[in-house]
Amino acid sequence: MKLSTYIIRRVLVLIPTLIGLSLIVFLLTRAGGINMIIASYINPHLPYAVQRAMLIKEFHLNDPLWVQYYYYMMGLLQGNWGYTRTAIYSGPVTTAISMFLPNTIQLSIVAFIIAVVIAIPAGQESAVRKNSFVDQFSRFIAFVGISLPVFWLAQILSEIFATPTISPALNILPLSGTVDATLMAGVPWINSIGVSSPTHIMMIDALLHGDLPIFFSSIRHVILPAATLAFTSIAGIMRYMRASMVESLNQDYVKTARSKGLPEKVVIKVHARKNALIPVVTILGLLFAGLLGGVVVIEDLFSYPGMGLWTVDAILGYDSGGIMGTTIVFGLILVTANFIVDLLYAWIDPRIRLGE
Amino acid sequence: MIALVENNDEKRDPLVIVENLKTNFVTWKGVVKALDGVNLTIYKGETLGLVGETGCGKSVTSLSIMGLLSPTEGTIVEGKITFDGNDLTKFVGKDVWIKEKGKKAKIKSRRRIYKKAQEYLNQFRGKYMSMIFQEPMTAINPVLSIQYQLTEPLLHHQKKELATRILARQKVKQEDFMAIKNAIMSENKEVLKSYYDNPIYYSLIMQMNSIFYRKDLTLLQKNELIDELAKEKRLSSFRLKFLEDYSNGRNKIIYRLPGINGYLMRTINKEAERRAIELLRMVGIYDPETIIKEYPHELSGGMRQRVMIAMALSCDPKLLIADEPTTALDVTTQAQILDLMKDLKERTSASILFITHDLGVISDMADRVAVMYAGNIVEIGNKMDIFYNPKHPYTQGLLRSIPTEKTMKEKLHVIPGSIPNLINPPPGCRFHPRCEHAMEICSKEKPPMKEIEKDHYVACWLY
Amino acid sequence: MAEQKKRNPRIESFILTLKILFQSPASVFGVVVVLFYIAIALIDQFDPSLIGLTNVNYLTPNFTIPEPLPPSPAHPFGTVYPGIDIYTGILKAIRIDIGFSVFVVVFGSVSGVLIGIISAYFGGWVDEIVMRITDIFFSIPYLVLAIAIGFFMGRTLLILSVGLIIIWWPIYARVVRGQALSIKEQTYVEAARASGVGNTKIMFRHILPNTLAPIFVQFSFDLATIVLTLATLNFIGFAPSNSFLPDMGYLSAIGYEYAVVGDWWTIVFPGFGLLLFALAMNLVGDGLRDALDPRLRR
Repeated sequence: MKLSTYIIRRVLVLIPTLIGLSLIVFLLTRAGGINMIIASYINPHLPYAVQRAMLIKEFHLNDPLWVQYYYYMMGLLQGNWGYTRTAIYSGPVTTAISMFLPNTIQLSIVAFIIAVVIAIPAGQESAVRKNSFVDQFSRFIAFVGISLPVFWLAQILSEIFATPTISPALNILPLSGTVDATLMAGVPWINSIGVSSPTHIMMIDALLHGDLPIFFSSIRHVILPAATLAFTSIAGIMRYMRASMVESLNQDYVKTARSKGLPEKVVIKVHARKNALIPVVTILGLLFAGLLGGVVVIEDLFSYPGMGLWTVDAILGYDSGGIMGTTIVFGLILVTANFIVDLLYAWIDPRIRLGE
Repeated sequence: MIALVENNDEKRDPLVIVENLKTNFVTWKGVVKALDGVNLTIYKGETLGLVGETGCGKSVTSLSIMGLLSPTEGTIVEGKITFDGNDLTKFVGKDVWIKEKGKKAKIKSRRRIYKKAQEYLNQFRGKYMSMIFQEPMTAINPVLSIQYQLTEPLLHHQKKELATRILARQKVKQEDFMAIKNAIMSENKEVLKSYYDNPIYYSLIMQMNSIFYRKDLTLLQKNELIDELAKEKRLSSFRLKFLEDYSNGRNKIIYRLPGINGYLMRTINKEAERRAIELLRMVGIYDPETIIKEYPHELSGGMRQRVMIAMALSCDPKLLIADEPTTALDVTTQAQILDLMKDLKERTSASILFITHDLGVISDMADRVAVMYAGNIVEIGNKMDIFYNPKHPYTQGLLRSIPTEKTMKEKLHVIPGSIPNLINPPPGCRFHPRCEHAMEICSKEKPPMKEIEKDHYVACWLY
Repeated sequence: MAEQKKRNPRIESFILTLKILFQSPASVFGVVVVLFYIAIALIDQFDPSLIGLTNVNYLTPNFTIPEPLPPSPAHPFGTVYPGIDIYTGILKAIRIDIGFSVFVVVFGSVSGVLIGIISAYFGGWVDEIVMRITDIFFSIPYLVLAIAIGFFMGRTLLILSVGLIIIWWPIYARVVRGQALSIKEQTYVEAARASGVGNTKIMFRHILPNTLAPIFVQFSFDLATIVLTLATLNFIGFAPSNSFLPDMGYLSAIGYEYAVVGDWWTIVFPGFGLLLFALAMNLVGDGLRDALDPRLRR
């Protein structure tokens, strides 16, 4: 099929997926019961019963499900995503998202880049030197990586780099937040929770305001959570890259390339690797999903003000608005990431790019 | 490439000598003794056909010669392969070897030495010996353009020759140009030969020839195109100086500076592209400018095979190994490709090792024929001798089983039994369990190759 | 040619798989560890007194020792607030964690495989619908969805397990579907259909057995993943702090506040209990994948 057909198809598939996403979240909220839904809107100082009746009327909670769904979707599309009341923030869900999402994006992207930059060359070398020490060692690390509970790894890395327990010399990284608290004091473009303006991404905002100490501090703050997050993904990507590369090296076209007398480096880099990367791209989307799940734990452990921390606070605080909001947003992020991956795949594989 | 070779040479010069080649593979079920002492000689300029059933070791032989055996599966364990005087088996036993422990066997390799061995072989591969594979679908890289894959060996092995080609068009004086052109158009071989020593003239002759031998042009068009060769835009003197130095192997430092290097290499790259188009035309692709920009999956099987042939012939190899090049194609395409190869055979001075299981194809293409069975060459000789006077029982069986008009009314002749298990091959002559003339000695000792007529050798105890 | 004994090809294939599997020391290690864990889980279930445990459904607190104690002969792995012995805690937790995981993965895989085969075999709009549904499930990170399900529908183990089953079957459906689609095109399936074999029989006798290899591999990996997921869910707060649920994530959660001030054993040991199992299971899965790879079985 032609490239444009492929893209259009992918876009069309998005629609039922998004509808399905909203439907799942909707059904879940309704499953929790009326009380849970209205909890975050209740003003504890006013009579409960009256508020409850009013809220039921306002949110059509006694109407048949499809009617409720209609109003729910209308609300979503118009920007009314409800309220959240958590330790970290109370207010409209949309505002919370605008504050926390950029930080999470910063964290995820840094983690993703770290993971890819390490895993792909490692996987390649592993395959090329199959069964050598380098190979066995990397595979071992990879295994440990996917078997580690995320919180455990976070704990260990914090112990090493963020506390003086193991060695004071290595205690170079901070333990919480996006930026050094002392630097934040009195800076007008950072609010009380630690969220910056205008883009809310601390690193970029620091550059925009020309504040280098904050910029470097934010890098130091993001590196530990990102590295921890990356560790679990590295394992997955590396294994897949290795398998894909091994498969590629066994193909006939590699024999042909060798028969042309090309140096091995060229055979590996140009002929084998290009083909090996294609299937790896297809699982990048899946991997990003796992990464986003890990974000929840990581942000909690490192007190990093992002979507994940908000989620954990919502769990502990029985805040349905928060859970609903974060679930939808995580879903949207993943759908976008998957879509980008599909486009990337179509671009790098000439068989798809040129049709036929 | 388009050689003006006299085919009447009596004196034959061996190009490839394979002596007692033994290659083993390691599998879960045991060690497969794929090649059990193969002896072959390929002479310069001839086409040697290698026939045999599937599984008899034909492909393994070719892979062994090219050194393309995967070090995790199999390796040459004994024997010598000499290519144009060079020992290709220098590293046998040192880079990859098989260790047998009782019933189990493991294949081991030493990376550093293996790398050195491959580097050594890379001097020959692509440039002096090249290979065409059976499945054009999988043998060409799907994610690289045709242009890239065709220019790759050129830019790797023949940068100097490319520079010479450009010089040929730029620097040859008018008188010489016209003299050569006339010689070509009147097919005056004597005059042309006198120009051979000078590489620039030689290159010009080659370029003119590639136009002259095209089948899709009239004489008038050829005339015009040849004239166009001289009408190319003059390059700057700096570039010309670079090309001169480069074609003589002098790559001065100034040429290697970052920006300048890119600028100069562009000329060479363009020439490679031009040569690639020329090659595509030579293999019968009539619209090379379009095809060259495309990707393998956009071409048909026959075209892919042509591209593979073009890739293999791009650097004028002395040996071309064709491993069942037509088996994966339909019959019509098969005929086209064979015609193409016959045509190329006449125009090139390369030796061809043509591997196939199809006797009909062999009778068409080969000068000499070698018959292979279960890892051994059982008979080798001139085409006529093999077809009309086969000596080895296996060869006789093969020829008898070809259906002809005479045999149409009878049951098809079949050689009883099936090919042996190569993990535990039968002792002595590997064919003896199926041979109707088997004698006691056949199960005890392997028969050596004997010359029973001039240039006709058989390995059988009957003689 | 020597006469060959007629052996059931399936059994031969199975034996070959085992042979290859046990060739790798890593896989052997994995299998041994997994068996060890399973043994403990079974003992917990049927006769806990064998290893000195009494109440397997709760971690037994001892409020007289509020502060965590470091490892000692009395408490080999130390204790954590409120006086819970970590060693026995882990032993009890193994049963819950592994039981939970097996439950989820078995039901998830069976339902996923069924749906996948039906979807691949019948194709058409059935296939389209199944694909869209799996797409929807793949559009939310599984941990986030598990959190949402647990949050709205109840924080009990049963609900969490059912929730995870619902999240997990699409993976199996996709894996099986991919395999089944390529098998469906093969001629022997056409041959079976041409000779009038019924649909069900074709699906289960011809197609299914050939799709099993990647399913077994996925199964092994998933056992590890689900154990880690459950632990993570409990860690971030799904197991309230007064539930004393024997689970390594829960143990780590309680221990976390103490670990940051230096009581390292409160997280190290429970985490290690998880790590060891997950590692072993992943090794087994990887070993299985190599053992079942048709190319390596020559």
